[in-house]
Amino acid sequence: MMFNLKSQKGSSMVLISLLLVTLVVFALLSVTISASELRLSQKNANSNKTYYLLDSAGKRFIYDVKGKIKKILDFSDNTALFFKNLDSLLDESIKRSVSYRNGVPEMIIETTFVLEENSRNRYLNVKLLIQQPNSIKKNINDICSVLEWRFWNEPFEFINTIDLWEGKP
Amino acid sequence: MVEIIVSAGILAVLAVGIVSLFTVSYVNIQKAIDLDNAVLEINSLIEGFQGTENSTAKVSRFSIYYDDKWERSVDDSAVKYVINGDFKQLSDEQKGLLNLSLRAVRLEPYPFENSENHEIYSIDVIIEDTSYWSE
Repeated sequence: MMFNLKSQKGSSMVLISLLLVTLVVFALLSVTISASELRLSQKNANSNKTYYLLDSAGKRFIYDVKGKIKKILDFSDNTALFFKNLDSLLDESIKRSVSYRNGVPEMIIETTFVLEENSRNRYLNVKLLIQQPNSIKKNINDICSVLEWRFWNEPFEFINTIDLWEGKP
Repeated sequence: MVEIIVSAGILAVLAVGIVSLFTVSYVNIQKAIDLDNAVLEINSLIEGFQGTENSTAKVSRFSIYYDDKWERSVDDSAVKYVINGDFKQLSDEQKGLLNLSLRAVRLEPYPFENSENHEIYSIDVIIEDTSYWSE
């Protein structure tokens, strides 16, 4: 027995086997890491596509509103009826409100676009300010301006385990 | 003698397996790097075209060539990637909106893959031609 343990026969085979096992382990680790790296890049690329899909939807919306303004201006020069005409042309699903600044009416139009990505919703809020056309503001780009263009993700619930001071005395 | 042949065979099979695993890993990393760079380059191109008032860009096609480090290149021998862009009017009814289609392509196949002109990333976006409403 002692003779067998002291024998160095086959020791190089054991070393090579250990080396191979180590190499297999490192190769598998390398494949796993690279695959997760690729998945992360694909996720980033998909998120980017969603961003530009929402952006494109917003651009279509602005174009649609500007088109309606142009239609009203081409149809009539009566600025007093401008907001009434615009209100009738806008889709019912679009939120709108009329307010007065220095006695001059202005309309705020707001809409939200939603797109699902990886079972979570992403949103784009678009808020437009429509000012009454006058002798100075004849250009449609001056009449219709963007107040808000905000991308946001679906709110998620979280449990606050640390008792943090929330700034309330 | 038989034992030596069998063990040499096992070692050879394992060695091939290990090499192929490292190759798969290398290709995956290369694809991830290419995808990240393609997204970055395409994003910067899109942002460059946003709010364009250049009417010459309304309907046109272009190609931008890159070397293996994703640096712009005009040297044919160094070119490894290309981004093809296609500007089109969205429709006759929507003349102030342009559709920009961008496609990033790798001109050489990845190791142990056959497909040349591998598409890395593609996207279609809408660009507003702000000059349209000033006309």
